Amino acid sequence: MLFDNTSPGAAIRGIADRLLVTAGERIDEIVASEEFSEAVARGMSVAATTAGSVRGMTHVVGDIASEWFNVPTRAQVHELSRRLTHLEMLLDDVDVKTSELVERLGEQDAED
Amino acid sequence: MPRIDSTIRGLLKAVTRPARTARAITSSFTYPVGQTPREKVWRLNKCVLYRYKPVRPAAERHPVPLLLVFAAINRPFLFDMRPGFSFIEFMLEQGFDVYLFDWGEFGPEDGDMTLDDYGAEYVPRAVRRVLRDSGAKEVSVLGYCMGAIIVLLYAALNIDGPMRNMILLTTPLDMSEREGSKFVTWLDKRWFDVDKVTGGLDGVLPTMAIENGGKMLKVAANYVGAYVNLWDRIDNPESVANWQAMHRWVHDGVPLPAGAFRQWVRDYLWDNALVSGKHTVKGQRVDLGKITVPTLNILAKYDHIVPVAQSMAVGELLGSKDITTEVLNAGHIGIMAGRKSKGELWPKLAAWLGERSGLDARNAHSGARAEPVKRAARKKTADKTASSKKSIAREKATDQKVPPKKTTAPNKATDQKVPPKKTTARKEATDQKAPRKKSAVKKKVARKTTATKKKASRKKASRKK
Repeated sequence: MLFDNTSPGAAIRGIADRLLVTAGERIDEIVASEEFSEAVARGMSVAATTAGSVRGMTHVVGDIASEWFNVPTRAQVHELSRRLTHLEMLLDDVDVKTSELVERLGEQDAED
Repeated sequence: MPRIDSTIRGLLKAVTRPARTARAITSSFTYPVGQTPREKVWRLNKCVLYRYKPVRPAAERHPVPLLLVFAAINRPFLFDMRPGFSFIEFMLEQGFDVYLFDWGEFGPEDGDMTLDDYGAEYVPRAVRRVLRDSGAKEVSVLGYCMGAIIVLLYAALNIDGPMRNMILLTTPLDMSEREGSKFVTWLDKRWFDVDKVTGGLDGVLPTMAIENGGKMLKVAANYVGAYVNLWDRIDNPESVANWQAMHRWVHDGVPLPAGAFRQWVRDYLWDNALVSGKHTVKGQRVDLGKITVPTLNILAKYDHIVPVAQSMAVGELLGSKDITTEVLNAGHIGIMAGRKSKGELWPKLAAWLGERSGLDARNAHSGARAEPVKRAARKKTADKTASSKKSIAREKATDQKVPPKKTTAPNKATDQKVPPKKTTARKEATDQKAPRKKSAVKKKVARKTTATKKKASRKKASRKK
């Protein structure tokens, strides 16, 4: 510890700690209240709507630019990514099935 | 002279304390974590399955591997903080074959992903890979926080699957329990418009929102108290190392796909669909009552993210007859990576799993067979922790359901059959257990055939005589 228990520094630290605890409790009460939740939720909705519309506009501009330069648009890249993931899953399923088949064939060979 | 030396040293320490604290904070963002040796086994999209290098020879290892599934909003290195203080390292030393399913970092292109995808598409494939890689026929799965919900989903959708044991840590299951949950208040449907918020996102809920959402649960403790703690412990290198690893984990979040967030809020939080049994995935109803695997349900008494009452529902809703509920004196994160976890949670978890991961464990701890339900412990802990009236009422109800004899003598009750719970969900579950009936018929037929064979052999023997 920086201060021993009898020093004035320790007393100041004690006060600061108590202040932090009390302030923390009050802030937690406020944060847990319905009024605060409602205010934050409404603020988030407004922020999300604004950000969404701005983002939408940038996407439109980006898509026009992509088409201009003859490169895939953002939506097309996303769609490609989704399809690749789906393909990955299908390949994984096929891989498992083929390995099962190989195992079964091996077992049959062993029996024969 | 020594007195002067110590005074000068003390003064130097005091003078350099701010600089050392600041350095500890800045270097924490690159603190080396997840050091236990591992290899990449498989990957799908951004998710990676890792296998940790076993430290014990194969003959000394448990034959059933353990798969870890962490929450989808944080990095899973909470399981592997630093050498000498790592849950994974501990489990490896205990002879477990440990696998970790890392969700990776989903991007805007994964915005449509839902929690159902996590539980119905990703986890089953990861389980399949674990079995294939390890050569085992069964696997134990551990889910933490939202990971526990994903594991529950997987278990409910794969009743006859290869899951041998299920461990759930701080499961946010029963969202009707609002007491002590700020998340439930913040995301109340009266004011929170989830479609509007997710519509404005770039496909994912950003890490900043998740991180600050978590910190806002305890404002003073997280924004100020954490740094005061570091200031106080700056002269203790061990404490500073722990603090840095934890600080890095807190500030190294993972974005959550908007679809998953939307579904979690709508279905799990507002409709409480998992508890009400209304949730369906690809036309299949998620009925938790059908889950019969041995389950360890671990709760944190001082959990400010998932209050105890929310996780208590696991014991009530699952169909397993081998459910052990443990309430530990820890917080949501401290339960796994706190100072006490090495001596408290980890050994308990390893002991429970070890009993059920041996060759003969299937017969001893099968959920389908009658096993002593540790309701006495559950009731005890629940009485200590349940804060809301509703949870107390539920406990009373369970007390009425279970005869007191069985709660007082759990060790003797190995042969006793626990009466089925009187919930409607359970009735439906038993009604839908058609394959079991079939297997019973098959057994009967088999018995008959063996009896006739025996008769025939006897006749033959008498003829020979």
